[in-house]
Amino acid sequence: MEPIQTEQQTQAAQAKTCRYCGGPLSDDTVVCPMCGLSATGEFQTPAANRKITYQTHIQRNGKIIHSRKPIVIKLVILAVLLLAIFVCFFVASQSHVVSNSRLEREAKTHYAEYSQQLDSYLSEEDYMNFNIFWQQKKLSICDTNLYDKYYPVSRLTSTYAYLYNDIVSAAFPTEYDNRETAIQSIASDLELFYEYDLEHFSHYEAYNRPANVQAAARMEANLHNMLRTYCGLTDEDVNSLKDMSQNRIIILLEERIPNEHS
Amino acid sequence: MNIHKILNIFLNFCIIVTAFLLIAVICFTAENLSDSSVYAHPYSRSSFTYAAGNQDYEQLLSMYRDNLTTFGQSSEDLSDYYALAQYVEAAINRKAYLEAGDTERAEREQNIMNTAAAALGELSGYKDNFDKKLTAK
Repeated sequence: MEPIQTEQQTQAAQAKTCRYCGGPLSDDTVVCPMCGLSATGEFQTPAANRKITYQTHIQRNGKIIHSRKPIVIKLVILAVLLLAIFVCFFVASQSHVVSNSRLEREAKTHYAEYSQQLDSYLSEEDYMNFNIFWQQKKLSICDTNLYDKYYPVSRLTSTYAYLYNDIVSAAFPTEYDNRETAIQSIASDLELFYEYDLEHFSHYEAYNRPANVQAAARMEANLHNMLRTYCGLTDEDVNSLKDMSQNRIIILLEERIPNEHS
Repeated sequence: MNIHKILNIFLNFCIIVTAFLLIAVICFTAENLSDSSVYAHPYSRSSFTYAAGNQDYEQLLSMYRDNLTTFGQSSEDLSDYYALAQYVEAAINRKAYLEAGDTERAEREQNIMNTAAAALGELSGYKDNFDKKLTAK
């Protein structure tokens, strides 16, 4: 930056007020602290005045005086950039809200199509795909009552899927599987399955509609079949499972499931 | 170099760094908004191979369902392993239905098994292994 010093500057500096904004000036002021324009009168046009206000060093009577305007502008730019970063992070942290809102809109828009698909899975007794579809479309998080009649069954199908896997794990153990863990998983998921039956969701509209009742009964029958076939339970065992505690179920399964790695 | 000049240089540096940071954050945010499952990845073919090779059928079924739930049909061609999972599930169901004397549902599962078996391709060896294990039950 080149130092600027002229006779006109000296004359302007002698003025008591800024010629542009009328702000008070001291004798040695070069740049008006109020408006940032030149107080020296060196430049007569606004463009020229803008030029001088962006000088960082202005020498007058051998003194170096700094204009603070460029620093202020840079600080403002920095603040705006930081604010933009903060806003972006906030939006990113709320992305699940945006995503859920999008899914909810889709769930409302495609209600006829989705409900037809869900009904189809129920009528075909395809509870695994019902569960996959329900979770894929995230219908349980939709803040709408449209799918309330499916909600109780969706909870059952979710537990059913876990139980199915638990039974497969116990029936077809690998050398890395822990038999006790598999048995405990079956017992705890069975307890959940019986606890969260349709009656548990009686506050939902049409919770006990025929399709739901039929699906719940079918899933229970399927699980009992699986437990009989792959876990060695008797008819008497499966009929009394509902009234057993989790610990009692564990003891029963430990008795019935053969230990393949012993 | 006086403090004013140092401050100017520092601010310039800060603005440049912050601008680059902002571009990165905008990209991250846009990606996050476009796909909520940006951090998730489908189970790969090697994972399915490992599960099938170890005869870990519970894992095979879990991965199959997780992939379908989160990604629908995965971009990587896993149709043969998906067919294997469908075969395993149908065979397990069929045996349970037969044990319960429910021939109608067992027949339905048999149809699923036949369709899945036709799509197995080179994975039919895994099917044979499973059949042996199931027969032993």
